[in-house]
Amino acid sequence: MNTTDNEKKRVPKRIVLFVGICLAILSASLIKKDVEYSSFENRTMQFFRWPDVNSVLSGEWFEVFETYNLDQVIGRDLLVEINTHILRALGKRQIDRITACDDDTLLIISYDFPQPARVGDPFTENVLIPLKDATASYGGQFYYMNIYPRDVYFWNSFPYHKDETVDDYHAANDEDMRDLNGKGILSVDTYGITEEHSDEYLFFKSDHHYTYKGAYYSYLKLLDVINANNPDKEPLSFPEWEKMDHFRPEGKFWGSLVSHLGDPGYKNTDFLEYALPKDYPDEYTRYEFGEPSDMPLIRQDETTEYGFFMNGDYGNTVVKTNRPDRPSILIIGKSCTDALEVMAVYDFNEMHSIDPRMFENNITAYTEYIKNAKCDYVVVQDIFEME
Amino acid sequence: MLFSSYTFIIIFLPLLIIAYYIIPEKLRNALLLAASLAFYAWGGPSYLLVMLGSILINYVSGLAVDGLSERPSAKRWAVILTVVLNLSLLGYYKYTDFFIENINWITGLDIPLRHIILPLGISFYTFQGMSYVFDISRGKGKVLKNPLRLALYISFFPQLIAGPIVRYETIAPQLEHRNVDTAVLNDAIFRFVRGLTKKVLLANMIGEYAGICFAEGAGSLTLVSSWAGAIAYTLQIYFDFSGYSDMAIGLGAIFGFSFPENFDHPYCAQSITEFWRRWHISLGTWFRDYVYIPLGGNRKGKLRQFLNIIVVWFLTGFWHGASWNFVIWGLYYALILVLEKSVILKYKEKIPVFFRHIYTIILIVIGFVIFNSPSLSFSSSYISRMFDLTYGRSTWASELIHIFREYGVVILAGCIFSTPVADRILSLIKEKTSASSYEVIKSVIMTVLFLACFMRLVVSSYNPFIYFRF
Repeated sequence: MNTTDNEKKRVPKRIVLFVGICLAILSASLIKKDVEYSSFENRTMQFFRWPDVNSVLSGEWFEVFETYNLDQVIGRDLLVEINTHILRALGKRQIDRITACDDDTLLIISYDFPQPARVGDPFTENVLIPLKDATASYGGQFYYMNIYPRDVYFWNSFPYHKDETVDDYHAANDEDMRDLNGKGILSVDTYGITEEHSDEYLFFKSDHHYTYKGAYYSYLKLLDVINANNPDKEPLSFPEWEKMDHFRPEGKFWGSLVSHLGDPGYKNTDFLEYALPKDYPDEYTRYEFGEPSDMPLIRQDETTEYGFFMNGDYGNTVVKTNRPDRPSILIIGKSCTDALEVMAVYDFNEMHSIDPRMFENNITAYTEYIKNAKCDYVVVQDIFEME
Repeated sequence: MLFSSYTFIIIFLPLLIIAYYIIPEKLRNALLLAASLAFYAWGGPSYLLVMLGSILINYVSGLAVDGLSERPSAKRWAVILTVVLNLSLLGYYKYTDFFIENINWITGLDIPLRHIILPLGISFYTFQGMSYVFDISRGKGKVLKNPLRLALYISFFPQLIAGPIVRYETIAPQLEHRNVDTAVLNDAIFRFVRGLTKKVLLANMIGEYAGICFAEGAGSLTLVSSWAGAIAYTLQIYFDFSGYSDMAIGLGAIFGFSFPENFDHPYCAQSITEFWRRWHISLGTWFRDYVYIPLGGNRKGKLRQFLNIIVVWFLTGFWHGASWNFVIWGLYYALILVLEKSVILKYKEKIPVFFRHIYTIILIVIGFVIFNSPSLSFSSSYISRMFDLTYGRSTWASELIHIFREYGVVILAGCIFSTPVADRILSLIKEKTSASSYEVIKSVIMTVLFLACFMRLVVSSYNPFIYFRF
């Protein structure tokens, strides 16, 4: 390898510049204290992990190392923010699968309309029918609850929406529900009642959940369907609200979709509502996975922000109110049923809830639970992680 | 390790450059070899042994072929054995499940699939290894007695994962002797950043839309979205692959190696024949020199030439992946090339340039739909949707607005930068400014592009916790 004297004297400035930038980024990132949690991203950041034989051979350590470096890079939040501003300046509304509508509603729609494909035959045959049979084995009633999808609700705000697809969606959904009914599964479809009240504040703009009021109307629909299917029983009726309030929590309420948008300049107009029905039972016992718990029924703690509306995610809660004249209910679902559970405590003597994310992941665990609890009504809203 | 990763750009590359130019020249090959092995082992060290096995096969084969140079028949058998060994290694890792699937399909058997993980870059380094033995056999390069030097040729990290496929005769002298020129070094880092820009700013961003279209399922696509998705993929694959080649060529030059060009603005071609002279040039010349010409090329009559074209393109397709889609893709080009050579090119001059471009681009876009489809049925549905003048007609306008608004800028940038416009702008600046100003401008461009790429790299890891389902 020859290097001429003349070339040795000349410095390749551009390489020096490149190496200099890289080393500056590297050293600044190394000197900076590692960030443990990012409120901007709503997640724990990757910490440094020393390699061991297994993690190296499996390749896992290398991924962790890359993630660690990117999570802890100097100026990370600023770079994300600049990127968002540039994309917005270029006219993009969709960033990382989130579309910002004109009214600041954020939608998880890339382009095509969401398809109502959840209640397919495999799900019905492998999940719903075994649960229905378990419920029927002791004379209980089984319901499948379909909560109005937020993306459909806001479809007309979507800048690239196609009008006819909403009707297509409804038609497909109606067909789904008819199929279920044909297989002996009762369904609770919240479309009608949600549309009736569509001028109210039913869904957050910045978050993928419905509001407390959205949950309330869904719950009313559930009661309607139960009453209609049990004309010989005392009708269930939810009372007037005793107290209803709303507030913006302390700090920023980063709705889940705002975090994804990566835009700290997003003007968040959402607020949280909570409510208490009249004559809400004040004597009760609460159990978490069978163990007594002293947690309140409604968490009126304004610092919990997100958890307040949803009332928290728990794997298996039972609330007993010692009113034997009232029926019992088991609600299986994820965060959206959390709010329904709070309301169900008013109408039902026993309220059981299962969140599949924190429960056993096999059908037998559910059928066994149903047979043991013997609730009058079993309602499944979401259980899709189960194989 | 990927070129577009933090570990490579911010840690590996700058430290290697510093180390390379600090240590004595006689240790530089050893450093590059160590770095290349570390580069390959990073992320999945178990497959390092496969590559080392490939190096060993070709090292021993090279010595054998060289030793048998006076005995042509024995040498020929040694070359055949080398090909069999190399292709067996490639076949085992890349094609085992493909063959099992087809045997099961034909015979009705139920032989379980092996689910063998494909070692990174095996298609490339296998071809480089064979190139070494072929060139020794043809007397176009000296046999390497030092196994470390052969290991460096086969495993050199810039071209290890995705080419260009550097033939031994091209690089043999550089393994012993390299000139380091300041101007070349400055251009080399610019070339690397240009490649990084193509990959990170163009390919990845255009690829977002292509990804949506090809993930949707062809049934939901309309004429508008199917064409837009296919064009987006055509641009994505060009910027991805040519960006990688630019980075490889730039990196090679940083360490004194001169790699051949792999792309020459292929979408400016006016025929498919010309397109393949401009696209993945190193693979094309490899097949031309080591398969097409030994089969007789165009020297044994038209019919034999067409047969040779079909064989070469069958192999080219199969080299790209273990799926019938790739085979069909290869044969699709074989058919077009045969048609061009027998009919179309005769009338080429009579067809206006604009229509020649349109003809070529349409065939390329359709070709990449076949290439990127997960199955033959998907590609046929996708292509039929591209010509369906009725489906979803009422939504065409809103789809166009969506595409233009969300991806218009990057797709337009992709179309512009797939032509030589960037080079022409740089040439213009060079003409109009002094040499020192030109260098400063290039440095500024490089810095801005590099920081933009770095920003996108960081953003790609932006991963807020969210559960989308209720």
